[in-house]
Amino acid sequence: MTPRTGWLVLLGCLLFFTPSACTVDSPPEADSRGRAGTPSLIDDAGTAIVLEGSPQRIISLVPSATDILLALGQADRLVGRTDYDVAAKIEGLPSVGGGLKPSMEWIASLKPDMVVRFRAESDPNTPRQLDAMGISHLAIRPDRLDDIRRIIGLLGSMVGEPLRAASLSAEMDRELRSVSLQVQGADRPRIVFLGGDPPSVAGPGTFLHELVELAGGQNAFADIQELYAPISLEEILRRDVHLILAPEATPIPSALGRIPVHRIPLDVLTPGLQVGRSARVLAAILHPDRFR
Amino acid sequence: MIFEARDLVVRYSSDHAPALNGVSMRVPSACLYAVLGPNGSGKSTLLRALLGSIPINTGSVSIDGRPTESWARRLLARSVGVVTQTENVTFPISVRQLVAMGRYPHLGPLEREGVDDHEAIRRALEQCDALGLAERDVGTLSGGEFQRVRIARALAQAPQALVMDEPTANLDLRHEMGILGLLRDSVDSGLTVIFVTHHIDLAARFADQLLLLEEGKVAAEGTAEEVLKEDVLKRVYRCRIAVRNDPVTGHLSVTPLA
Amino acid sequence: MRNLKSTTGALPFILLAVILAGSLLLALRFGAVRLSSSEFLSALLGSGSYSNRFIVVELRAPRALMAILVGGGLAIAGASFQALLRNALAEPYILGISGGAAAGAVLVLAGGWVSATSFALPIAAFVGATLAVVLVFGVALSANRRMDVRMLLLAGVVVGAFFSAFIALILALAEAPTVRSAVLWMMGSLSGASWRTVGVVSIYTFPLALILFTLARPLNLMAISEETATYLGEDVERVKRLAYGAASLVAAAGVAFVGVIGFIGLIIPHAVRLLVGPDHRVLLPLSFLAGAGFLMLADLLARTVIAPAEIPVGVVTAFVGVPFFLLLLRRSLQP
Repeated sequence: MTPRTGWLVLLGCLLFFTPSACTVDSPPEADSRGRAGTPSLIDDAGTAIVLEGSPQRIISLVPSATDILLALGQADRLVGRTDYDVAAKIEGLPSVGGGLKPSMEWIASLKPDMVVRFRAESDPNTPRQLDAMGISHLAIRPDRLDDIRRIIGLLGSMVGEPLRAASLSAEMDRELRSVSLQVQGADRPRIVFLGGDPPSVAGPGTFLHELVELAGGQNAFADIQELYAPISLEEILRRDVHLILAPEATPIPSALGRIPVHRIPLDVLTPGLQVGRSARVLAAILHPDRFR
Repeated sequence: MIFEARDLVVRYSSDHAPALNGVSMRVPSACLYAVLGPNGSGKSTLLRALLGSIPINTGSVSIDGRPTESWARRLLARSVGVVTQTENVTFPISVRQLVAMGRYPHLGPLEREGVDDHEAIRRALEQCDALGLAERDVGTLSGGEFQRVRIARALAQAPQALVMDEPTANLDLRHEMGILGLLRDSVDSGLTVIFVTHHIDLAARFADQLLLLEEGKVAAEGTAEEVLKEDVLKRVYRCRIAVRNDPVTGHLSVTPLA
Repeated sequence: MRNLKSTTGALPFILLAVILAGSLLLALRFGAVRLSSSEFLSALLGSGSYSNRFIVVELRAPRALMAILVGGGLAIAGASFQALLRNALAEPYILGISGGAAAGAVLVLAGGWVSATSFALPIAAFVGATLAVVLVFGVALSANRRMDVRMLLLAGVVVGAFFSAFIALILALAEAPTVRSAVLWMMGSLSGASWRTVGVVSIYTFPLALILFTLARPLNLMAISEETATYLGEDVERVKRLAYGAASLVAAAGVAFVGVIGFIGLIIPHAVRLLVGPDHRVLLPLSFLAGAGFLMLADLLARTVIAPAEIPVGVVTAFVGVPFFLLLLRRSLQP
């Protein structure tokens, strides 16, 4: 190591030991963590969140969570939305921007007491700045159907409507079960979900995989490790896929031209309350004879 | 200032012949010393070696009796003004700012140019007939004007010696005479000047001592009469050359023959 | 026949300092959320609602200060590289810094090693940038003992291409939110600025800027030629080590925290040179002030024009910078 590199490394180490310059004093609301006896929730980031009564001013940065909250009758408690929330009931609410990089200024000015956010490893700023503001935040990550069930329960506990949440969850399961019964015994075509450009396929860790299986199909890529992975066209051809499911925007490479393609609405790709409906849509595509 | 080289060998790369192959020469103080020779004979290399800007393989170079490499860089810069063959300026800069760089070796770390410095700059510009160009962008100057400006920069250093590589190459007759007259006057006042030139007649007319290089070796060193001999010149330049006394100037003059 | 002005005294400094102060005020006053003048003033003075105070003091102020530090740092790094490489197209990222920083950042983003309180992301970006510089100098020095300009430029291109390929590989295998975060990071953003990160960046920026300011006269000489610089008394190799080191570090420290904000390091030095000439004793400090103000205003635009969404600030610097610079160029070319 040359002396110059050594100096560089030393300078780099300074980063670890620099104290904060200055901060605004703590928010006026008392620190709501660690009070014994009050209910606590564990979110998808593993953080224990202690609540003092249910939140009255909620901002949801995840559209599917917004849907759940609306279904739980919490429309009055929502004070902000994202650019991607299109539900009519909350049109009038101010937007804080995108779900992954919302405007902190807007969030601060709306004075929420709870923010529901997407647990993305690649976004450290949102939780850090929410912490600095003293705003509680609940991280969610719906990858599988079980995650959706858990999130419905989590949000239900958060707003003090555990029973209503349980019934939403049960209704979702009922719909899924009914779809799966209707396709029982039918042949199961091999399916691949394609999304993005170059196209990626959905693996077994995703709710799409579970929906396909429930809807009477077989995910041709039930063996990959990743959630969504780009796969070579050769591999897709090799696995003798019967049907490609893709949203409107995904271009289908011409090499796959001989495989039939069915376009699916974007709604199907959203993991939320509508998975029951999505399962039905998929089942109707895979087994049109059993659905009218 | 006295410049001296002893058995100097300089190689640029091991596969080619050395650029300087055992050169011994001496520039006495207050001398106008011309370095001559065909292309590739090692003239520029010799200047660089004397100034210590290239490494030498064997032999020695010294200034005022001390090895060149023992001279502190800044002290050398205050004492010796250098004008290289060419220079490329990337960013627009005024003539005055370029010449002002000659004063840098005299300035302390945070010091700015003072009255003396501005006076030295002005004088140098005047001596090179470049005062009228002072506020011009160097990029708009002709080759000759740029040359005079660079000479002015070296003069602004108020040096005790000047080392110049083809200082009159781009100059018109008037300015060529002007610069050489200036150099002559400076030497008469005590400056030591070493310059490389292709213009043999000029060297014969103005220089006190001449050095003739041939393929990295000294072919001759001495006064014009001693160095400019027809057989030597013919061998070195590979061309028949007639040497005679020019009745107008009273000095030797060479004429290449086909 | 073009006449150039030489160093012009205190006027440009005063002017730019005033503009900088004015820009700072604007940057605090305006943002995604509309505050009335009285709300703004009370927030500044420490009274007023908590959320307004948070917006002005914890969100806008660190952003503005970060803009000053990074904008100024990139500008003087760019000016230094232009002098050292004697090349008008040189800018702080020319020796691979942006590629290395982005590679480090993308690696951490894709690996999910970022957490709410750690400095993993800036550290990885900084290490990546430093690694790139070390590689570039290593490649250039292996060919030739002295840092030859052509070798440096070539090595910069090659190392940059290598890191680009590396980044492309990671992104091809990463999941969608990561790719989006990575792309946004690479376009540059001041939204993550906090008082703590401002503190860290100032620890780097001030001493390094000072080092470059003291190298002003040697840089004047280096900008002409290294041979001339030697004959005028400079230890050229030492100047190169110090200047390349300081300029690379200050650029790397900036990139590590705000991503790759282009254009400032290239255009600001040229613009300032057009106004006050090439003497680095004036060019460097003025470039710092100009770069600082420019980035602060660009960031203000970036976060207000389509509020609550934000345009990546690198996009704004390009869109605003180009016509502004062309205007300046035309004005200077008129006889």
